This record gives sequence, structure tokens and C-alpha cells, in this order.
Amino acid sequence: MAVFKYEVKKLLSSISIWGLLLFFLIFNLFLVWGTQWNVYPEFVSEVAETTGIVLGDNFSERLDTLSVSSDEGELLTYLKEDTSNVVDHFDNYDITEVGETYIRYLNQVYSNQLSDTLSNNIRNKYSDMQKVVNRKGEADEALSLAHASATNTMHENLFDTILGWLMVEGMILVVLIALLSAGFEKGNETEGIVFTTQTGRNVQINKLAASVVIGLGAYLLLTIITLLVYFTVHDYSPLWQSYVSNIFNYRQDLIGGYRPFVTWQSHTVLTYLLSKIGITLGLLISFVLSAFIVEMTIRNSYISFFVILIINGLFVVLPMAISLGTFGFYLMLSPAWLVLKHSIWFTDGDVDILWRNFEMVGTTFSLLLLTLGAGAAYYRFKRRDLS
Amino acid sequence: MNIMLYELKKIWSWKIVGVLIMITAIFYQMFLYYPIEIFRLNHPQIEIHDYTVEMAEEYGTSITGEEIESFVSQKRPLYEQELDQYFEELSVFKAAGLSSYEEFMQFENNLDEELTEEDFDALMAINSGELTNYVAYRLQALDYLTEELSYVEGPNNIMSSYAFESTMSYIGHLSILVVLLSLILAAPVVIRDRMKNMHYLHYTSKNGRKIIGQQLKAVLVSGLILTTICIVVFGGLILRNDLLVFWDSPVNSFLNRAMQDILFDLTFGEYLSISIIFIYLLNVSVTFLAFTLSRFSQNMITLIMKLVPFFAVLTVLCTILFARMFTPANQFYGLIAVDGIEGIVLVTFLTIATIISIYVLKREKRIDVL
Repeated sequence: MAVFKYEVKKLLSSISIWGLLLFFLIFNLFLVWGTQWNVYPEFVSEVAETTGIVLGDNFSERLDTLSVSSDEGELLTYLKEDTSNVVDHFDNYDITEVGETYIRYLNQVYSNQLSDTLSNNIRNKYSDMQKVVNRKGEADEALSLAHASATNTMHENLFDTILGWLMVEGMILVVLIALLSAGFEKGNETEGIVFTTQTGRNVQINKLAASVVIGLGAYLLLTIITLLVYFTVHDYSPLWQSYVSNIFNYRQDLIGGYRPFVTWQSHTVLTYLLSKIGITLGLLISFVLSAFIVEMTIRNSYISFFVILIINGLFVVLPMAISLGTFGFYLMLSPAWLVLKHSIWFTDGDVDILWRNFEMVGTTFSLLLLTLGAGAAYYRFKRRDLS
Repeated sequence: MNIMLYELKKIWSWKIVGVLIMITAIFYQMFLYYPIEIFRLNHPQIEIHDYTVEMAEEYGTSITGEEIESFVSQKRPLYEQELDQYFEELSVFKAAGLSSYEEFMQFENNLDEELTEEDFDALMAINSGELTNYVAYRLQALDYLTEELSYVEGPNNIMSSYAFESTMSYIGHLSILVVLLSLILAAPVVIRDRMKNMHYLHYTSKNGRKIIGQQLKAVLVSGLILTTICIVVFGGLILRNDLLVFWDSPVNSFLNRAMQDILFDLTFGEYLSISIIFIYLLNVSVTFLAFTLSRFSQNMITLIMKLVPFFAVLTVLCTILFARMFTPANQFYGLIAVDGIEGIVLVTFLTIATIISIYVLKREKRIDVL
């Protein structure tokens, strides 16, 4: 335990980590500043305190009786237009058509050689999704105010832009922290002393644990400060319980086209935010493990960093460069692709996602595989001649 | 000279070269692939580009309104005839009840009605272009030239907007690649020796503390070699897009209206040459600063922690620098409205980097190593 504490202290006392954190924070503050595009979302949030967030006759009545200043008169008119005669788009919505469109597209790409297993996977996924859509329709989940017609922009600002950049910064931070910790003894030529102690090469386990704790701690610190600033600028307090699958939120992809934003679970803004952060933490642990595997194998921190960059880069570009067949679909579960597809987490995904809850499947699979890999790398490291 | 050669050997180790090659391959696939491999797949931009190439080959660097009209009127009947033939022969158009291009244009203008499967197939056949040899896109490109005629008063320059925009976007990405590779190459030079306390041994040699100057020269030469290789290889690839025909064409043209406000009278060749010079200036500045960062880092990872924000800032710099260079639309010009501000920024950057490097060299000669 003492060794673990000293490893944590070593990482906490690194000025470079704090410097990098500060740089990322300043960048995030610029991003938050850039999300201030219109007063309408703030107005909707203010109004929601009086009207509530469930659309319908009660909402419209409260809206009609609302008095606002002359400056906000036009905004109130927009809001009335946005929220009058709303129709639940999940009623009679056939999402299985999206699945058929994807299957047609994949058949074209694979020259009609798409296997029955893959087609059935997609059909089953959308058949399950149809049940979810029907359930949402019955519960009128879509009749949720959110930010009215500004919902999609605000959703993308928070969940795609801000959380996306936090994810990338977290990846860089955890990899560098892990490499700093794992490669510290070699870099400072203290291996000869450290590995002859009672703890010996087992110190790497303490280093791994310290890297996970500090890496995740750094990401959470960055996230909390960034989101605190974001939610100070944009007041979400009346809107936390708005469902993200509402009539104003949509997504667009080249193949499936323009369609409602549908999540498997009934996520509110709050649960969606916490879920995304949760999956991100899992992915960051994967990156820590991969950094450890590479560092224990290559034992050169500088090259290790670029090897990790190259491996993840290859995961990304290989499906673009060559036809990988079925293997290409499995690559979508890799940490690199999960990060790229973070904007469609908890939804049905897109044309190259075969499974429901792909983000959880991918993160779990990566964690398991990389834990085994770290174990194997550590086993080899323990027996290796380090001279 | 021997020391510099040994330093060059250390810099260009097989591990670093392997990393550089892999990163270049991945970067190429992600950012440089499209302007080269997909260039001829964008319709009707490629048709407009092909016409611009034809006009440049026939009329030189400038063209009058009458010459454009003549160019268009020669080609249009041939393509309309070819397209009518496709409408007569192909079953996909017969099924939709379309027998000529004129009927198709009327059909396309009344698309409010619900489409049948045959109508949809006919539209897809025209839009995909493969069945009809992209003739419809060639006619669309001729319509575009006719529209742009209104901007021609007297002789006007011939410059393909599609080629220009894709080339400048490519150069922007290439500059980022050169910066990244220079950082990877230059950064570990000093720190590698300092981590092993080799610098104490070096200082006791006959060369003494001048070794750091030798290392800086080696890093500079390596950076220049790397930049030259990148420019030759990737420059050679982009030239496949029929760029040389526009070498003597001024960049402001009725077909390249985004550059009509350019502050200097430059040909495409001159514009490209200046861009290449800017990439070299960037590379030298980055090499100097990476060398300095390396001197003041305790280990490789703390060095990378400094390089990450440095690279992020340089990416922004490169993106801004090459976007609408030498026009009022350039963001540097938006901040300080001085003609040629892009060059001034780069020269200032280089000057600062050089001063810092010279300071580090001089400091190294005086510093107490204990």
C-alpha cells in the first residue's frame, strides 16, 4: 500500500501533468465560450421552471398565461410555435425501415455477398429497437421540452463537442500518465535498485493502479470543472429530467438519413450525461492498460507513445483503406472507434454497428482483452532479462 | 563534421524512421488521400475542372466572354445529342416514360409529386452518372460556365477553383504532417543524452559544450531533409490533378472568385512556391523550438506533455495560415490588416525561435553543470 501511495505522490508531483491539465482546461473554456450562440435556449430553460417540461395541453395553457418582458416577446412566440400541436413522432414510427436501408446498402458494398447471419443481426437489432420505439410512443417520452427547436444544437454542443473533446483529452492524459509511471524506473536508471527490493518487479502492479487512479482522477477533475463552467453558462436545472429522445432531437447519417434520436434506455439529460461519462471511464482504463502493455514490451516511453498512436490509427484507417469483411464490424468495438462514434452511443448506431448497446459491449470486451494482455505482458516482464 | 554525422545517425535511428513511416501512412489515409484519390469522383466539380484545363490549353492564361460562349456552344449540342441517345436506349428511362433530356428537365422541375419506383430509378441513373457516362454533369458544368459569364468583363484569367481549393487544403494538411514529423524527429535529440548524463562526458571532450550546437545543426539538417522528402513525394502525388497547366495562370479568376480579392498579383505557380517556402520556414522554427523544449525536459514523457499543446497550437497556426492566404478573408489579416501578414507572422515566429535557440546555446556554454 505504501508503494502505491508513493507512486501516486510521484505522479501528483509532476508539474508537466498539471501543465497539460491546465492547457486542456483553457481549451475547454474556449469551447464553452463558443457554445454561446443564441439566447433562445436560455429563455426556454427559464420558462420551463414555470411550465414544466412535459408538452401537451397543460404546458400550452401555462405558456399562454406566462408574462414576459417586451424583449422576450418574440422568443415566447417562437416557443409557442415550437410547442403547439406537437405530434409524438414515435407513434406509428417504423424504425425497421432503417435496418432494411442499411442491409440494402451493405449488399451493394459487398456485391450481394452479405451473409445471412449479418443481415439477421441487423434485422433482429431493429426488431428489438421497434419494441423500444413502441414503448416510448406509449409513454409519450418524445413529448419532452428539452430546449425546444434549439435542442439538437444544444445536444451536440454538450454531448458531442464538449464531452467528445474531454474524451480525447482524457485519452492523451491517461496514456501519458501510464507511460510516465511505467517507464519511470528505466528513464531514471533506478531499475537496478528498485527491482532488487522485496517488492521487486511487482512494483509495476502498484504503478498500474496508481496510473488508473491518477489518470481517471485527472479526467474527472477536468470534466467536473469544464461542466461546472458549462452549466453556469447554460442553466439546465429545469431540464435535467427531459428525455433525450424527444421530438426536437434528431440525427442524420448518410445512409439512414434524417431520423429521430432514439436511445435503447429511457435516458434523461442527466442519466445520458452520467452514462457517457461512465463509458468514457471504462474506455480510459482500456487506454491505461494498452499503455502498460506497450511500455512493458517496448521499454522506451517515447516510442511507446507513438506505437499506441499508430495502433489506434491503424484501427481507424484500416476499414477505410481495405475491405475487411466481417472483421471490419468487430473493429467498430475497438476503443478508437468507440471514441469516434461517441455521438451515437446508447442508440441503434449506424450502418456498421451490428449489436445493441455496442458501446458497453465494446468497452467490456476491450477491458477483458486488455486485462489479459496486461497480465501476459507483466508475466513476460517478470521473467525478462532487463540488462 | 564527424560529430554531426554521428548525431544524424542517432536522429535517423530505424525505430524513429519506422514510426515516421507509419504515422505518415496513417496521416495520408486520413487527410491526404481524398484530394488525390477522390479528386476525379466529385461531380460536377471535375467536369468544370476539365473544361478549365481545356480552356487553359486552348486559350492560355486568359479568356474573353466571346471565347467562353463559343466554347460552350460547341460542346452543348454534342452532349445533348449523346444524352438523348441514352434516353432512347436505356430501359431505366423508358420505364419512367422519359425519351429525351428535355422531358427529363421538365420532370425534374416538377418533383413535388410522389415518385414511383421507376421515377426514382431514372433520377438515380442520372445522378450516379455511370450509366450515362456523366453526360448530364458535363451539361451541368456548361450551365455553370454560362452563369459565370456575367462576371467576365474583357479578358479574364483561367484558374480552376476545384483544383485550387483542393490543392490549398492539401497543402494545409501537408504542413501539419511536416510539423508533426519534425517534432517526432527533433524532440528526443538532447533529452536522450541528458537522461543518461552523457552531456557531462561530452563537456569533457575536446569539442566540449559546442556539442549542443552540433546537435542543433544536425536536427536542422534532418528537418530540412524530411521536409524536402515530404514535399517531393506528396507534391508529386497532387500534381496528378492537372495542376501544371495552371502554373502561369493568375489565381484570381472568374472561376475562382474566392481569390478575387487577393492582395498580390500572383500566379498559381508563385502561390504554390510561396506555400512551399512557408512550409520550410515553419519546419525550421518548429525544429528550433522542439530542440529547446527537449533541453528543458526531465524525461521523454514530460517532453511529450509539452509537445502535445505545442502541436495543437501549430495545427491551428497551419490551418489559419494556408486558408485564403494573401486575401482579406485570411484570419491573420482579419486581426492585423497588413498585406502579407502571413509571411510576417512566419518570419516573426522564425525569429523568436532562432533567438530562443541561440540563447539556449549561449546559456549552455556558461551554465554550471553541478
